[in-house]
Amino acid sequence: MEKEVAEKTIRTEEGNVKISDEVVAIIAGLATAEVKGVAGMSGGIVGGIAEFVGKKSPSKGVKVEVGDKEARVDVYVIVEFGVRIPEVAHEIQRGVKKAIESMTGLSVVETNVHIQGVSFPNEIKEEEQNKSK
Amino acid sequence: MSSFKTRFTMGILSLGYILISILFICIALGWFAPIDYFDFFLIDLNNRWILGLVSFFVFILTFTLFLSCFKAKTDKLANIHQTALGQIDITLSALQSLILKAAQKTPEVKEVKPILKLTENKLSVLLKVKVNPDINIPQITAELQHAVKDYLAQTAGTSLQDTKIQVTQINMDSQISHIE
Repeated sequence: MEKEVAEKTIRTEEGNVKISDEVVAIIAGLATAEVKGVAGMSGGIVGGIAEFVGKKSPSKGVKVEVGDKEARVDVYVIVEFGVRIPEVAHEIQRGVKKAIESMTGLSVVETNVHIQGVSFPNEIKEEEQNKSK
Repeated sequence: MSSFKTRFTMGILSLGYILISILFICIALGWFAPIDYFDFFLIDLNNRWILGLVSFFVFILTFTLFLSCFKAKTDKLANIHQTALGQIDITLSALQSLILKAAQKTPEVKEVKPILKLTENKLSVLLKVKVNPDINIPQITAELQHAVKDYLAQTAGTSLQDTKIQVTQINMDSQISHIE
């Protein structure tokens, strides 16, 4: 898989259709956000700055490597408290694969899910803070 | 930047801002001597070079601090599952949150400080705990070990290789209030 490739080109009789990495990342981000149990995405520096200036980035917390026919996705998520993490992660993997493959025609070879944190409701958070003092 | 370095830098920068703001307040109140001194200081080319270099250094430092505000925490990841679709990892800090939640099921344990260790993808935890007085410590700590182990297996699907407990303190708050 070539890392340098920033967009995927589909050749049709009428011409070429290019899909950029960013689009693939947005599709993956939206598919992840739809999964029940996902509290949010954990973005890097760019996502943080975008959020700071009030711009919501649907590709926040998603890294993609797109090749000619294949894609590799890494999603960084925060899950809700009380969910079974492996089940939510598996659901994310399935959702991302389905969304990317149906919308772009790319084959998703790997979807790695990185759980970056657990989101607690406020009451539980306070109790937890008291206990970890 | 490590948290100590960040705090140290922020402390130094805050001190600088305090001094600068005091200086500007004084200027606003009519004390113009610093401006005259600064004008005089800038006449010398060497001084301008020094000022430029110091300002550049401060710029780099503050810009790094600014960027670090947006940086996601880099945390160690423990692999909890490997499926045909890919890998599922969880950060140690997320596991720590889950451990704290599991510890709430043992009311006799007043405070918990989990220290997770990941070696060759095997996870072990040391729980430093503060417990209430007048309890059977071996029984309560065993309960806590089971609670943490079961909770992590249930929610994160990960198993702990080792769960060590260190009772570091006895909670005397309730006793003291009772005596008073």
